[in-house]
Amino acid sequence: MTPRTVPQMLALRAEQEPGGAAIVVEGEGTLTFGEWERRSHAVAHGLLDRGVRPGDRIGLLFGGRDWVDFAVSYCAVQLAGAVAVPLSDRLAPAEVRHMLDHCEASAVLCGRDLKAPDGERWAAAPAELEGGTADPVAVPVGPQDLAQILYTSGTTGLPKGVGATHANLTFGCETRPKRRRFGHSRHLLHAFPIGTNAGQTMLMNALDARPAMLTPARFTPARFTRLIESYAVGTVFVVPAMAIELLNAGLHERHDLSSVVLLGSAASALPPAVSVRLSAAFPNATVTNYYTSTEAAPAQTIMIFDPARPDALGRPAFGGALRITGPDGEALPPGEAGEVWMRSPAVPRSYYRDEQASAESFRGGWVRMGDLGYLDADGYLHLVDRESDVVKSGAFKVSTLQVEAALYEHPQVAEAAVVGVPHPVLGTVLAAAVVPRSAGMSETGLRAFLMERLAGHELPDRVLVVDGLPRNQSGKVIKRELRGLFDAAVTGQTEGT
Amino acid sequence: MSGPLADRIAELVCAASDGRLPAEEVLRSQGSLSALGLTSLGLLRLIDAIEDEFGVVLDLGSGAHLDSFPLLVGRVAESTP
Repeated sequence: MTPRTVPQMLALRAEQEPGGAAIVVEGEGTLTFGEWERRSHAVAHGLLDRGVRPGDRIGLLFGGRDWVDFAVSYCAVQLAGAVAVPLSDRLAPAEVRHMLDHCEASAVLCGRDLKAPDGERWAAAPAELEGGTADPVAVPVGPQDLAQILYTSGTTGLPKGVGATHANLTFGCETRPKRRRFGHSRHLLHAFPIGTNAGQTMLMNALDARPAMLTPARFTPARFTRLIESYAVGTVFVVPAMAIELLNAGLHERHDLSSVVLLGSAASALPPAVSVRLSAAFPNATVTNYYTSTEAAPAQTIMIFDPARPDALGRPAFGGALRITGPDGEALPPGEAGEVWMRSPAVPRSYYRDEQASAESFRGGWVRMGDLGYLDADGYLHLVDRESDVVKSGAFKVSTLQVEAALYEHPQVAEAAVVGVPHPVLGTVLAAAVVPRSAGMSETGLRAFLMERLAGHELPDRVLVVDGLPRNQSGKVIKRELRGLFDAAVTGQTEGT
Repeated sequence: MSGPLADRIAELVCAASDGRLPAEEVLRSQGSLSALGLTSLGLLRLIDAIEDEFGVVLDLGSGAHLDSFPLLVGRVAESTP
């Protein structure tokens, strides 16, 4: 029988390969499918004993070294009929609080050394819930039930919760052992954070694909590259920033990377020049870009790097669809630029408890990607740059409005504006211009203030203290001129005070 | 901070920041390196550089040793002969 819920996927795999490695966290341990299932049922009993009921939202706050406990907790929550809300340990306390409050989570399960923000909910480590029976729990869970909520940066400044049902998550899952994806590999290596769409995709790979999911407990580019060599990894997923760092540090010259047959970029497209360098550094690898979003998954385009179409992002895969849409909602012909819309082959996702935003972004089965692009004559997608309040920095989407809002909370900030500026490794980083209320504002103090409110990847890379912001006649900040201020600062003037 | 070890680590911080944080400024700093302006990417580079040069394995997760330059120098000093 084809699994139609995430726990059914786990049950099938545990039956087929109870002793097979599902997840390997380097330096921490290995989780087999049998243990994954047994522990998930044990934690699910603990959740039910504490009063968790179907549909309850449960926050899961974990860092990379606790992928095993996270995977157990994720399936346990769903076995109890509840909704998993994965949260990264990189988030600032204020962000975690917002997300838990927004979905009215009734509890939070935490990884080692992590503490849930104060609130009207209980918190526990998975081990505290695991003491009792591991008999199968018998809560009915169906494909249309909500399975997870992932928070992602939105255009309004506050993160939005994207809800996915079991039917959405299990779409396309495999039942035949010999047909499992990435069958050429024994290990699939990645370092995506928990709580991101790319991280969740890797969790689904751990359940459904052939190779064991391998991840470093503590990521750095050098440790990541060493893992490729020591495990002779066959499948590797990166973000462009990680690939560029690996190349710039010459790590490919110090390690044998010939085992890699698939090198995929899952969270952001590799710039063509980087793909060319990667093809040389990974001599046996097919370099592949995947284009999707938290809202659109599992809809995606897949592109094996082709020097003849270096910036193409591919065509729709797995039965999804793609169109370029004009201002009146009409499909545009090849060559004309417009909004990129994708249609999921599975039950679409939606914004949790935000009907207005859902109506804006989800249209009759189509998802507005928030990007501009065009299709070439053969149907390949190409993106076009545009001004946006959401920028992609490394693997993350960051809302400039959210960063501005955090700056305005500082008592010494009179005005603030944030833009994305080009960066050689991360693609784009945030640059903030601040008008202080009085002289003597400390840039260091401002950053320390922001660290309480924003995740590390959301902190402005550059902060410029200015006397005033460039504005047009109606008072709107002219972002193009603002970028010019940062260019001027790079060419020799003092930045900050 | 002063001394050859502090000088060398300050140079590594400077390099990890693409030269944006001058070594002299790093040597004077007492607070968080992130607050000083070392980015997430810069921290990762710094961890690799210190592991490469001194064989000292640092953890970004809990981050205690990276909370300030003096703490970082102390951690490297106690772990190297």
